[in-house]
Amino acid sequence: MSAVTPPTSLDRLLTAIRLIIRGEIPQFTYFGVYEYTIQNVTGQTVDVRPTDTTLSLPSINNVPIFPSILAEAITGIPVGSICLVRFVNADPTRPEVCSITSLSQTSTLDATDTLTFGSTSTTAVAIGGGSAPVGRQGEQVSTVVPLPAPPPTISGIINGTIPFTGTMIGLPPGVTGIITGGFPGVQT
Amino acid sequence: MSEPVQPSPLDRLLTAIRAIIRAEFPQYTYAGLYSYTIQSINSGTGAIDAEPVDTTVPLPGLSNISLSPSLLGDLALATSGSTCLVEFVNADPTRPVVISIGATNFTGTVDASQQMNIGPSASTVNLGAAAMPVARISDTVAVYFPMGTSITIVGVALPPTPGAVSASLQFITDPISNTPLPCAGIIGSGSTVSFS
Repeated sequence: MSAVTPPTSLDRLLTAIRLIIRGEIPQFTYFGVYEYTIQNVTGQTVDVRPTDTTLSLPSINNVPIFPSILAEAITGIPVGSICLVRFVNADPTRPEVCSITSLSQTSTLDATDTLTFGSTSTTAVAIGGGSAPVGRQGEQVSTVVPLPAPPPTISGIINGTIPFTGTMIGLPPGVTGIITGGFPGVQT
Repeated sequence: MSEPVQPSPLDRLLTAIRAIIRAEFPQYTYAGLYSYTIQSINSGTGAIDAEPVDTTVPLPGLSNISLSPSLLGDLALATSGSTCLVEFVNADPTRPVVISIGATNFTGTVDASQQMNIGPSASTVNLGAAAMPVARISDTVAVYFPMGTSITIVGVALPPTPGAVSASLQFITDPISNTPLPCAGIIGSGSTVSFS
């Protein structure tokens, strides 16, 4: 362990140089991206506190949540979530949340015209867990016509002359067809 | 071409000043945003190994680095060879995260704990190849009783010609179009995924 060195006149010079350097780049702290914890959520803003208190970062209230290029919006952000905060133009008065590690209750992806997931090269688009394929307009359907219970009574005239009454006991095993209606706003 | 210059006392001063400046901002390098090339992907976790694109910048190679989600709880399985953007959380060289990938991923996921809304204002939402509209509950279907299928009945003929009857009634064709008789219906059930 080295011995404690008494102050010298050079220390004052060094301190002065350091102040000059710091003064030349006052916004340096606000470059980069920093980890914060969400303390409170109010609408589309959050109050955050830095996870590393040894850094000279402020706790900040009413930080806006800034979407990516997909203009996503979220609500129901869990308090206590870890987020990343960056400062626009390295300006400490312009913080924004750019990443949240927890799932929000509701997420929205939107566009003014067309929103596309995947492409012709995408082998699967799974929505909501993706447990079953969706039917599309023009695709085949196959249905079963169940025989009602009790079997329906029918009556009529045989050969135009013989009155008849009886019971239907058998139906076709199934019928096939196509979906004729669909929602053009969603295409797969 | 200039002549070599002899070292002078000023060079020592300049070196000292540069060292002071560097010491004042030890995390300077890690406050920026850097381009890396993805070398390999852990198919289980999605974590990547990557090398800096610009080898003249004193940046480390990265191993087993997570992808940072945006606001959507997004996950991705990247493609090897893709370019990605890397930031260092708190300007800490031990905490790199991938914030952007410059190529289509092998898989991608967005999620929410309760509800995911996709395109509430969009006039069109395309999924995959976007070839045909999707069908929803209450959308129509048209089905046909194929020719040759039948309904079977049993019963009795009543006076004046009483007796037991057992018959198989076959569906006939449309006398005009000679096609199976159609009947229409609607989709009566579906998943909780809604398209409206």
